[in-house]
Amino acid sequence: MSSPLQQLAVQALLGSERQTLRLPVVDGQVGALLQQIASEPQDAESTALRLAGVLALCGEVAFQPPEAAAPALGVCPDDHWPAVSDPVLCDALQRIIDEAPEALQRAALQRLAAACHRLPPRLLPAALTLGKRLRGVRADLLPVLGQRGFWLVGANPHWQAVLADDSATTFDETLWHDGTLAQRQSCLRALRASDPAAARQRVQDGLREMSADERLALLDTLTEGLTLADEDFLATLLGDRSREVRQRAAMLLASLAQSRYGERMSARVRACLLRQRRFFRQELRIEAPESFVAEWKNDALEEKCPRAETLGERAWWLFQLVCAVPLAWWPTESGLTPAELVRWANASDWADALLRAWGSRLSWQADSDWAHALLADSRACRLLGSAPLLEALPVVERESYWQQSLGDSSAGSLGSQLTAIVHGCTQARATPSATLAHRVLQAVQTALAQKQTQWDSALRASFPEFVALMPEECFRALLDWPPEASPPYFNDPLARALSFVRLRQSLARLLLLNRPQ
Amino acid sequence: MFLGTDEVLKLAPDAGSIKAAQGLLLPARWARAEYDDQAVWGECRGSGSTPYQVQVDREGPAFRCSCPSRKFPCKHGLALLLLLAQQSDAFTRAEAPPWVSAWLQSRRQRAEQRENAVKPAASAEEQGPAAESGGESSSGRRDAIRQQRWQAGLDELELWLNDGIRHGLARLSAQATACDEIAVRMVDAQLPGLAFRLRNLGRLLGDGDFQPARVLGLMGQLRLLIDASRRLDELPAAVQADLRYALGSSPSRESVLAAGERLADDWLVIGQSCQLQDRLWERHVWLLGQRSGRWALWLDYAHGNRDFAASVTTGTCWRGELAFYPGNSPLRALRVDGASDEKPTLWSSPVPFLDTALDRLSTALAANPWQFPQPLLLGDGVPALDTRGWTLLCSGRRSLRLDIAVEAGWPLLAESGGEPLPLFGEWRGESLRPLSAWRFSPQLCRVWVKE
Repeated sequence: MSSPLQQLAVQALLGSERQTLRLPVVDGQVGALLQQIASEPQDAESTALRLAGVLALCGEVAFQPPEAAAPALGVCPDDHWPAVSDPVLCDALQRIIDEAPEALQRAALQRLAAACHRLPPRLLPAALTLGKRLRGVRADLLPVLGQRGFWLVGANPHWQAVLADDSATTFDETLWHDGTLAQRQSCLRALRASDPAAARQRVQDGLREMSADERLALLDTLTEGLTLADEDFLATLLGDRSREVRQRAAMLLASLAQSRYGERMSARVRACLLRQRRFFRQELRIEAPESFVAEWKNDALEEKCPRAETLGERAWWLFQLVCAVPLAWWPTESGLTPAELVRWANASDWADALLRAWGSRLSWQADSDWAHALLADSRACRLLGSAPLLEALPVVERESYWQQSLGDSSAGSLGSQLTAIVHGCTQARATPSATLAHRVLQAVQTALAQKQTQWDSALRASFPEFVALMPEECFRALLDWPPEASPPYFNDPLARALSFVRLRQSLARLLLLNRPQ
Repeated sequence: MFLGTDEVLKLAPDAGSIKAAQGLLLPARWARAEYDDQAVWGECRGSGSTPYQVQVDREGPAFRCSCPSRKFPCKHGLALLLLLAQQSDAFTRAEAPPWVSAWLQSRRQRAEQRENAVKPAASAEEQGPAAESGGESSSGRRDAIRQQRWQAGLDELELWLNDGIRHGLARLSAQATACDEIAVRMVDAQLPGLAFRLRNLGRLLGDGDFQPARVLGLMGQLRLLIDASRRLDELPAAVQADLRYALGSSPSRESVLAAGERLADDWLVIGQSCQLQDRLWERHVWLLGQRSGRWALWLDYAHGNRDFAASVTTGTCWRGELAFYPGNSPLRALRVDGASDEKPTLWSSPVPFLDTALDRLSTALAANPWQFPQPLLLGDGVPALDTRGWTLLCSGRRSLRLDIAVEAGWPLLAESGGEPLPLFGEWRGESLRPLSAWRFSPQLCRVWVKE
């Protein structure tokens, strides 16, 4: 049933020149008023407009809300932990969620949980959206969501991913069949930890239905707990349709020195090594293969250089062979230490192929002796970049390299160095030491006094992120910077850095005070 | 009331000032950072040889700085408040130096002078019409010219409305720009209030979800306004005042301060909204009298940037007097200067439920149907999302449509936790535009404010 105003409006759609308007009839006082208006001498348009005006005003005054269409959500259960209510702290948390680097976000959430507080409700939507975007913060987010957070996720399925824990601890049949790739990976990882053979069998059984991406991802999970028992299965993958899968299987097999593949490969490399007597001592020399042996193809070796490859053809073959031999093989074979081997490679004709192959092997098998040896070599650092080499070292050992290279322009711009430091610490979830932080602050201050630093955009981006990570005892040093230390172009990064300092100070101060009894 | 970082940032004239201010947050930049009950001040080292003297009067807040910047407030003033918000331990309590106390004193004096200037005017009014006779002839002539323009404008609008009905709403909806044209004509005729309604009509016509009943209703209301304006002189004085305001003219500030209804109360700033109309920012500051329960609307304008003369924080409360504009259901008001230092008492009466709130709304609309928007405070609503957006589920399973973006509504739901959340907003005829959410017990606490 349409309202009198609607009846009138539908007729007015066509216009009074084409259709005479029938005036609506209404009871009561409003009806009497309408009749009175209609009875006055005037044109039809005026009558219609006046009636419409009266009906519209009456409608607004007598507004009645419609029946609810949406069912009400249940009431959220009570929380054990109090929500943060201090306005300064709410403010700080909001800014951390909105704009801080991931490491600071994690630290803030951990601090909140340690103080037995949960996030204030109105920040939960932003926090959940953050958790959906950044997998890394989820584990720290869950404890401070409180009942309210879980209740809110129930109201918005969009945030479900925050709760979906990707790190399964047991093998779940349904998850294995229907889960996302990440979930299947974690399932498999769990199974691999308890029953390596069963995990391998799962991959082997499902191989036919998997896409190349899935085969690659699941193959990666077999890296953990790799033994000779996996050799046969991996060997079959050397004939896989996908080149990436073939190479990954080869990489895994290469980690098993005693595998048939490993033995074949080390025999091939050994064939390239020559021992020559020179004066009174034996000298080790290396010579790249003269030709590509057809059966090498079966071991996932490529005859043709990829287009962008800078190595020559023979160097490319040598590179692939060396990639397939574990690093530990070299000292045993030659009797030389990694440092001596790097020097030896440098003196040979095939330095690039050897150093690059060792670098690539290192990214598979972290080995600090080899990492130190390669890092000490300028050619290796140039070829491989020092950042990936550093990743093979524990953070504590990386720090001394960072400290040495800070302010050394040959090791790249200060900005790129600082970016690497921030990246390294964030990945390893480690805090840089106070010594390093002081060195960084000094180096930045020195750099800011030089004109060319204004072109270092990486420094402007990474400096605030570093400050977000550095230990609290270094705050004073930054806060005491004289105002003339910062040129105008550095105002924004400095302001951002300082805002992180303040946020962290607020957190530390307020959460300490607010700890419930 | 704590002025948080967000609130300080809202005072900034533009984004550049915010950036510049954040660059000044180094304590080393500040030779001095002090405060007392009335003001905050500091000395900021800039590019010049002498540091800039920055001061902020807590009442307002009002800013003053010795730097040459033409922005207001300048980056130094903003930085001072940001520093206070983020690192209050950098400040020391001290006695105001001469350059601060002199400024404060002159500000208080000026405020007093303004108040005194109003009082003689008020007493003049009481002496009767004779006191006014001096300017009568010239203002009479001005009124006559205005009356003429009005009549011409009203005639033109009547013709346009009738044509619209004759040719049909369907044809009108195909030419939504015609509304803007007639709106411009109404501005020329000094009828900006009608122009505002016509632009709303244009928006309704251009809307994909074309609702003929709403269009016709708006056109009908315009027609009633025309009818009423033609017999303006026969109407009671209060209705005349409402009508004049609906057409777009309002009495002068001075006359309101002199003759308007005065009400002393503890006024809570319960919400504010800001909209841009023709390069003019209009700010609605909604006040709720804590003892009288009266609503007041304080309107404020700013050209270009959103730098209003005084900054207002939602959730603050002050004890003082308002002067209301005349009308049948007075709402619009001015703050009478010279707030007392007494501490205001905060809300203790229950928040109205839907039925009571709607009854009050009906009474207000019946008294003055031309006031738009109306204030609405509801205590029994739970936010809920359906396919058309956010609604407020109230007692008796009835729902009010909320005028808020889907993304922006989640914090409201989070705060409610499925239980009723006292919500204040502007009632816009069919939907509520939320401006703030509150906890009234155990003590008044602002839990959400529209950005």
